[in-house]
Amino acid sequence: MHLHRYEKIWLALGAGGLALFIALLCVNAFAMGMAPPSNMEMIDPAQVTQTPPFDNPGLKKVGENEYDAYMTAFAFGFAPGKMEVPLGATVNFHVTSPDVVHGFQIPGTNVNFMVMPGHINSASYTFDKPGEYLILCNEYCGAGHQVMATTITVK
Amino acid sequence: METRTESQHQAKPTQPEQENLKGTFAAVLLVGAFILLSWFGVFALFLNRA
Amino acid sequence: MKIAVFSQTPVDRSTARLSLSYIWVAYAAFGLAALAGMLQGMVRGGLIELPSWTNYYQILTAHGVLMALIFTTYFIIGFLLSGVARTTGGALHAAALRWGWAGWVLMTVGTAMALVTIITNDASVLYTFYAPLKASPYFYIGAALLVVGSWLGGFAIFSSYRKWKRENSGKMSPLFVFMSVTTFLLWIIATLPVAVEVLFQLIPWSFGWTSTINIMLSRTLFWFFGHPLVYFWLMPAYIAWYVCVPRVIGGHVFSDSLARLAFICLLLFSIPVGFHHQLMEPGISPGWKMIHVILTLIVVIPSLMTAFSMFATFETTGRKKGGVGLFGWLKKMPWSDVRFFAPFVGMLFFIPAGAGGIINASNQMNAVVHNTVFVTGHFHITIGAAVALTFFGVSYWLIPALTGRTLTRTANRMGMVQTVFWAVGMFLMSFAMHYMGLQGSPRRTSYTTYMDHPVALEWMDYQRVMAFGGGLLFTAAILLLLILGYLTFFAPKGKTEYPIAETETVQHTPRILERWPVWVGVLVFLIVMAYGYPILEQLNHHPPGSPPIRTW
Repeated sequence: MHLHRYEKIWLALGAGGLALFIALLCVNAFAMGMAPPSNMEMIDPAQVTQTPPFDNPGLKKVGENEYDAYMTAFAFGFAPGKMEVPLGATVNFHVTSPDVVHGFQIPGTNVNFMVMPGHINSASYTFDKPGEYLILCNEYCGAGHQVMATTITVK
Repeated sequence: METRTESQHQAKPTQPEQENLKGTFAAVLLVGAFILLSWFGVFALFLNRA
Repeated sequence: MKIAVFSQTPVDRSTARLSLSYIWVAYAAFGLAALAGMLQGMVRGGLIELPSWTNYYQILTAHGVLMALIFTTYFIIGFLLSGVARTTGGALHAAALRWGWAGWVLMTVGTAMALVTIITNDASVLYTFYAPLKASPYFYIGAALLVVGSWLGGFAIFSSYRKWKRENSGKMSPLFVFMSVTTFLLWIIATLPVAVEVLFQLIPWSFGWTSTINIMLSRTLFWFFGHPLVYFWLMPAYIAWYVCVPRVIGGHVFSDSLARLAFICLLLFSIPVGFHHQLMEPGISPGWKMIHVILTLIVVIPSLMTAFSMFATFETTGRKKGGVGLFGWLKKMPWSDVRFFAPFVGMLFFIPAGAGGIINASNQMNAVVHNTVFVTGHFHITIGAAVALTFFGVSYWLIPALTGRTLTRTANRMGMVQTVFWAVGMFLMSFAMHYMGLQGSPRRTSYTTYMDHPVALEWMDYQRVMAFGGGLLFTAAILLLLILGYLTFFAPKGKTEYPIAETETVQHTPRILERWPVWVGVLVFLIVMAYGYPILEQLNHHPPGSPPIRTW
């Protein structure tokens, strides 16, 4: 099979570019700790409201300015709703669902993960800017999907 | 594969090498540049939002 | 390969009837789906409110199923059957025709069943039908019949291929046939996991014979299918680009070997990659996600090869016609021939489409765009522009070729107008989607301002642009159907060419490219490597399953 010289160069550049993307992504994911949300913990979806810590959704202070947020996503809302944290707080979100698959996204940030019944998923974010951040469900979950949202206020 | 022009079988190296493909090369490099720029743009957005 | 000259058509009547039957169901579905799409755009743009007897998610389900599953599969089978016939002597033999018709019947029964459940609002689960949202069992049965029917269409192609190989032993198959066989090998292998999901998980669970479902496994099986699904759409468009368009412009197939090699690479690397649709999911480790991402980026390479081949075809043809300078050959292309213009615009769209796809698949970067309308923008320019415009461009000659009529100058001109409307509409709509997606606007979501939240209110202008684009697209869709209706029933009778290009000189293609056991073997190896362990884990280590839930 004969390749024109330009095609050889093009494919070499193409493969090189893709290899560069892979290298950068690997370093960023595995050496800089920014791998995608892949929590392996599991939970009985029928028992969510009775299983700690999801039986009492809310913010728990775990450090100087760090909080764990244990939340549930359900049709059609989040618990707790309307959270508030101080400026500069790092929040570790841990979310599960007692019903169908939902999404958990904070527009303008990288917080964007799937919430699957039977599983717990997590992401962390440090709120460096004040404001009222929108948390919305971005995975179709039924008739009320478009109202499924809450906010987290950073003062 | 045999084509209907098999009577014109040439002993020279295959057809592509004789062709002027400078425009093709320029065009694919532009495509490659578009891919690189858009990828790094979103990567920068990702790093910035972290 | 000389074809027997049948009076006014490049394939015989039986083949033409079968092919047209598939193509017309495709366009009927397309018309309904286009209406649904326009309504969605208008709802999200805040321009209309739907009447109480319907809802956004029902319409969205109809749009997705009709466009992504019905329009595509039917058109693909119709087109590929016609091209296989055209390049193997001008007719499908009896066995192939029987497979083809059996497939059409099964698919149509399945489609009708699924549509009824969508219309009664018992299947507002979107075309991905994620558990534990439970649709009517007849929705899943309809889907199963659609898939099995499509396999029979594939058997028609395999049967034709085997017959040709027997009658031409020792020769490489015609390029169109080789590519069709590759496409259907991909399809049959890719649909096996979703068939397992539907037959063994969803149907029993939705009938109540099993009480819970393993959601993680169902999603993995779906996306094992879902990624190669998009290559099932893309490869027939590539067939038109590699085999038909060069003839339309008066040129040749640039490289027979590289074209076949590209298709083999597509077959190998478009399947073991499904986790790139599940990057934000729990229950799959970062390591396995990265393995699928690496395999995904490898599948970019055959498309880079295709880009080179396309430009090379245009350049060599244009230079022979007297084009000079770096890009002078572009001017020599038949710009006012819709048979070239429509697919070419499709190719242009594929540049940002491919770039967006690479971004989507880039592991942790997916967090920027997951489940936003960026993804919606991406797939509208891949299948909704690159593939759709190519299918339209093919239809403009295929339908008159099959009906023994001519593509008149007026129809050609109207086709050019239709192409421009579609392209402008898609450009506006998808640009808005990509931009809004980066701001976080979610996909698959009806009109909302999230209680007038400032972030959501900022999206409204772009949603109106989306609605406007959708309106242009609907206009283009109507125009398309009118033109195709004309070409089917009213255009003057005559002979329309079925363009099939050949290489300019003899090219020696390595025989190994057609040794299917080798490539299927490599593919199975890759699938086992990419999916074996993760699926085993999901079977053995999983939370309690979920009961059926209906939230609409």
